[in-house]
Amino acid sequence: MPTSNSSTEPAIEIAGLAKRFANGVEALAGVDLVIEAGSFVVVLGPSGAGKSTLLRCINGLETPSAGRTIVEDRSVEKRSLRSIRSHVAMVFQHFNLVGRLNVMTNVLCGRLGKRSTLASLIYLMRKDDLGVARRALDRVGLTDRAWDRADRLSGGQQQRVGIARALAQEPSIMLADEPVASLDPAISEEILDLLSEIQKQGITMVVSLHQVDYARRYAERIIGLNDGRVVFDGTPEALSDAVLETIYGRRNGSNGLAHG
Amino acid sequence: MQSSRPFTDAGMAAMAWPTASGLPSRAVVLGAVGICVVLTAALSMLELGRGGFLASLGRLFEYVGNIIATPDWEYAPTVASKMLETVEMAFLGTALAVVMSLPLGLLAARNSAPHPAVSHTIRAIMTTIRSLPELMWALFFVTAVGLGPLPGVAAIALVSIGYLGKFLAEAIEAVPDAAVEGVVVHGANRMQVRFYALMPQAWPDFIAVTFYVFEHNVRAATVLGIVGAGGIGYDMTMAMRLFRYDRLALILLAIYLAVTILDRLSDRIRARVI
Amino acid sequence: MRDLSPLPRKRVNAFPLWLAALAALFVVVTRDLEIDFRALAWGAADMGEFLGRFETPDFSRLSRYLMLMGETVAMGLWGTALAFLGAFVIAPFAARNLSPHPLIYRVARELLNFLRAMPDLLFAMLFVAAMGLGPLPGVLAIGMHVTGFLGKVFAENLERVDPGAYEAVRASGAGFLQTVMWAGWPSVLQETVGYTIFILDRNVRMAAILGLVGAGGIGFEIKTTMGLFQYDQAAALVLVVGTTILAIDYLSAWARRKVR
Repeated sequence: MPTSNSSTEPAIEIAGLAKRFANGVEALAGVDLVIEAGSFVVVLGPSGAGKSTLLRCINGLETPSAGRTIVEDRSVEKRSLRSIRSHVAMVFQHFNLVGRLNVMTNVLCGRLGKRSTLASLIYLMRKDDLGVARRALDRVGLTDRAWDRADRLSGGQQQRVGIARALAQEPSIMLADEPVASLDPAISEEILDLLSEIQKQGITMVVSLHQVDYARRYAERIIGLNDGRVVFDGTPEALSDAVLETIYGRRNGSNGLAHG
Repeated sequence: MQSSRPFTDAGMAAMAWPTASGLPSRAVVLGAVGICVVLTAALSMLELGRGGFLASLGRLFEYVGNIIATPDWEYAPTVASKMLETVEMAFLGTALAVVMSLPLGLLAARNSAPHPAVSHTIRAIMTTIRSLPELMWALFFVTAVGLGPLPGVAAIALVSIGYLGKFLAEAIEAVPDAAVEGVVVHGANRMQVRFYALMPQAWPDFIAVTFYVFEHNVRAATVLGIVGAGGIGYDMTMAMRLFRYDRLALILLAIYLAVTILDRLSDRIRARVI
Repeated sequence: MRDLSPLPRKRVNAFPLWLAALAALFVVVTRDLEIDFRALAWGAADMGEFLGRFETPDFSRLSRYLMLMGETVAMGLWGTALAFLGAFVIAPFAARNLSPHPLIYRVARELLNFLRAMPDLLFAMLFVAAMGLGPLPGVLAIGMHVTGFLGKVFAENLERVDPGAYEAVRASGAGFLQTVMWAGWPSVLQETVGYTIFILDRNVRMAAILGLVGAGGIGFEIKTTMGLFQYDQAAALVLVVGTTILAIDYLSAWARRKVR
């Protein structure tokens, strides 16, 4: 269950976050951000802007070179990863399911953070965990495919399984890293609608996208990222063409992928 | 984060597997039961050491402890030269096998043999050769040509021909018909088909396998000395019989080093050549 | 007519160089070992005579031989079981993208290399010297050497699994063991079973050989009969071994086809 419905309490605080990769690429060059609980935030920007890296720093999949992240009053570091990850769920661009396992087992993965038993190693889980998984599956509308192998599902269905897995964690925060980049438009909208409904039920939603129209439609707040820096932070209404140019423009002055 | 105590009565009833029935799938259960049955049956066929299993293990640890104790470093030059001899045996055997398995592989493949009878016969010969271990072949050759590295080289070469020949034949048979057609259509005769369509496709895999075979042969060569077919195996047997644990330590170390270094080298060269 | 654009510089074909080097090496080594290949031709008559001693296989003690063969197969089975167990435990630590720490990864890899480097026959000789004659040293020898081989293969398979699957399970809060069991092994199940069946075939072959140094099974019987110049019986034994191995060959090929 989400911890708090108060929209004034920060769920995520990011201060001075920077990340330089081993090959010299500077993905994040100093990001300061506060995300309130229960909001729908879209991180918008071209590919390579650092959107993925930003999200992955929040749940510890990347370790920043500088700065820190505080999630629900806990600092993200090696020791706290397990407890943070039990409240922060992630949805991936390429779904990241275990293809050979059935849908229900994939969704059950979401419960692993809460159960570190020996029994879980042989796939023996508590019935209440199975109940949570089943409810999550029902929420995304895939109960009838529960026992099918995950790699037999279509792209959109697999992403819904990914979302169910995230829901099974009973998270307070959900991070979606380019959740619809691999899906066609009709399905993309279904997925984003689903994420929007989930957010309305009280889960903080942070979604990274590169499609401007989706950002405009679903976000309560848009954070424009370019070259690892925040270049815009405001409502969708404030997203003018001039602003878009700062988001999608390249350092050398040429224009990137600005779609209207 | 709570951890449950799953093995109480109430606990067990509250757990299930993620399948439609709540129990593991039939294939898994049958497989697990089957394996247990087979292994138990096998156990009854094995008469284990006198004094029991644990006593035997105890003696093993004691033996290993003796070996690790104090190696006889003055023995090192002898060990080095014997190890070199062992490696040379493996190299020669492999090289000979490569050369001889090329024509044999071509003849054994159904799509490049002049007649099915030829391919069947050669296949059968290669299977027979392969079914006996190098050690037995070495024994056989020792009776013919006497002691020394020659019988060892012959044994290694023979068994390697069995493997390389079979592999080459399968690789040639796996060449898609389309590749052959492309050449035949331009008027190639059988020999030309072999060299322009079949061999080039089968060649890279064959070379890769040659390296694996070499790695295997180095290991095989280390033991052939037991029957007098050259290499460090003889020294090892002697050291064990005379309880010279200090020399044994050195011999084992030399074998480990040689095999590891050659394995790495072989992997590197294979990566460059492919 | 316009001049043709220049061809890119052709890579020097190193093949003839390799060939020449190998040929030279061949000559050098032959000299060093003082080998005269003609001895093989001269010895052909001896080889023929030796083979002739095996002409009349004596099957009078067939039931005993079959029992010994059964013991050999049992050795192969248990050796495989031990090796599978060892590899199952060690391989996740030897997979770079799974291992909990780079140092543990290095140690696990080196351990597997060491076990792989020593031929089973070597282990068997040592174990027989330590524990006495019988099948136990053979089982342990096979178990140890093959743990190295299987472990390396399993580890490489685990490393090739889509890293996204590992990430997603970790991001749900799963620990090392859970990631291995839920995302690792299920993704490589087919290859794992296939290799194990393949190695069972090889291990039974090995078990027969190990008997030659006293580690139980039918190999030991072959050694004793040949030592006593009872070639008829040795011939029968060799035939029993050969037929059984052929049968297992077919069985394992069939089993591997079913697993695919």
